[in-house]
Amino acid sequence: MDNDSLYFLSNWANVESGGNALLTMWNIFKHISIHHYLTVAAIIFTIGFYGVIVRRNAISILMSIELMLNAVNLNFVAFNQIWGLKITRAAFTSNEDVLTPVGQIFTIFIIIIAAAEAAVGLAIVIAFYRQRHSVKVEDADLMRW
Amino acid sequence: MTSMEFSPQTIDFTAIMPIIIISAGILVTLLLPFAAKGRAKIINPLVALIVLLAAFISSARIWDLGRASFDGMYTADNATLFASFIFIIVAFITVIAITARYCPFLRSPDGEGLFASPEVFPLMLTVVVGAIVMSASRNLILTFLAIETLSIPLYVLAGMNLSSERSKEASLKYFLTGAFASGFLAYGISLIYGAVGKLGYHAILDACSPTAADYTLYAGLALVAVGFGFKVALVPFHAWVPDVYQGSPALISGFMASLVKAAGFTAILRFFGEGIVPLYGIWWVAIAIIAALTMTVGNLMALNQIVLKRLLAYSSIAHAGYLLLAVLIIGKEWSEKGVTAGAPLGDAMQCAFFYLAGYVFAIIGSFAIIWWLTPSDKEGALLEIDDVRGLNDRHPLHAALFALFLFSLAGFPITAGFLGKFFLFASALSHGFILLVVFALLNAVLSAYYYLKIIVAMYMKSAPEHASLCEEPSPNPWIYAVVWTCTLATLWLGIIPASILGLLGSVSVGG
Repeated sequence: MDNDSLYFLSNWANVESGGNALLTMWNIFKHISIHHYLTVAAIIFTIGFYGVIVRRNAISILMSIELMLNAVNLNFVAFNQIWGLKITRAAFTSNEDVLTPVGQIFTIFIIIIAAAEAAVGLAIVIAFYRQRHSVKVEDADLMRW
Repeated sequence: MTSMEFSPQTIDFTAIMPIIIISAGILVTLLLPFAAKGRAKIINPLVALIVLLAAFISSARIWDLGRASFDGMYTADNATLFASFIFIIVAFITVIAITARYCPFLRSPDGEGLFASPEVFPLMLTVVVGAIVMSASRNLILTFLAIETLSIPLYVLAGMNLSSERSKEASLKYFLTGAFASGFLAYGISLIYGAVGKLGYHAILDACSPTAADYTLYAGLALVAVGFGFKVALVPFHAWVPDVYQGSPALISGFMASLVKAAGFTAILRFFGEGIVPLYGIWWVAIAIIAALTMTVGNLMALNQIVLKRLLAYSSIAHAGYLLLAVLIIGKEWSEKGVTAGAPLGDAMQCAFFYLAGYVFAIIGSFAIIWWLTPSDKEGALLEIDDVRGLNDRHPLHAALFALFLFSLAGFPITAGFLGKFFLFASALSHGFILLVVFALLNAVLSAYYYLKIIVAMYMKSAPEHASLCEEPSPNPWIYAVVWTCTLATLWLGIIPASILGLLGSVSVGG
């Protein structure tokens, strides 16, 4: 068990014994590092991947794909935490840090693309449903091998 | 890319002029149907053609200038421009052919108005914009956006045949696999961003070091490669191709097989050649194995196909395998010499582009012939080798041109396909990929079997007793635009390659 988990547990024990819950949570949040975000993103991505592989309903697959893209968003925002503040030449002449919010910009683009994909995808699923009266992917079986 | 500071001075409008023109065309063709109601059916394709012509001219005007825009994020070097010429020509002839069935006064008596909606044109123009940006992009953000700009309209185009169930199915399958692949691509890009902190190819090039292993970067690169592999249909990720190509309207299949594959490969060549070339020692084994697998599986699966469109789909997978050789050659060449801005492309890039040009016209020509033979696309998806038996007796011109395109795909002399394969394999040999070239040659021999099977059926078999699907090919004269352009290009590249090679000789990587 690493230090963070021990810290979390000790704080939690503090709450259980009647400590200030809000203050305790703040203490815990302070210890959330980039690794926690990345781990959550990886887990979400894996859940999305699993959903695409396992689910038979086209709408569920679409939702799983959105989950994968949201994991990417989380990744970008988290990485932006380390790369966002970049020491450039300006830092030597003035005390300014120059912001390069590439990750956050990319996140906005991915949100747009996910929206476009959902719009087109739902339309395609509806068009498919009108003809086959099903949204199950195993019913898309007119063409095989 | 030096910095992310953004000022209007860094935008070179001449470099992005083709994109601006086509984007304006997208808006016009999208909104015109509301203003011009019935007449839009005639005006819309006309606007699309004019826009493509204008984009072609504005691309030709910046030939050799090596322009770049947005801090080098968008490079209009000659490699980009050559690729955009291919995209624009392909889109141009496809628009003409689609118009033939779509315009009321041009429609043949038997045409049933497959493309009953004028949205086809803005969608096709959007695909062209995506393709051009893909070949010009030197930043993973832009590459990702371009891939999506290219893909999302194609999901719709695949389902454009409103009356066909197979078309809907193709659309659904293409969408689900395509969106899945973009998830991988985006996740890979996020990992690369985490490792490098920037997304420009130059920044990635600087950050790639073959000595210090950075596993975040490697994982990101692997995922990006998976995303690219889905888009150009490399073997473990190829399962969607036959279904999608069979179900889509034949011309759209041809459009996908030619334009999308060409755009995907120019993007791959740029990313592998300019981005991660220092890691060549790590990725070449993976790419070599995938290349061998792609050729073999594509050809083996094509051997016993009876539906023509599926056969062509599998053959296009095999062609993607041959083209991967070019990625290996470029990686080897540039990892030894180092990438220098403004340097002329090596002969590897030359033969990659030559191969692409030859392949594009042969495959779109073949699909156009299928479209020509079956006036209704519902039947086009089911056209089998048996149906074209004795085609020479019934429709000699169709048979002759189809045979020419198949010969080019198989790589027989005097066609573009032969020289394309010859240059590519010769270059691979001179760079020491002996085993892989032997493998590719065996595959080329294998592929001749199924191409010749169609030609034998057309010329040496008697017509089937039962009613064939292609009894009455569309008498529409406008399909000639596609077929003759492809014929001309195939023969021209095959007989006088020097003209294009000379053009490619001046193609260089922009600074």
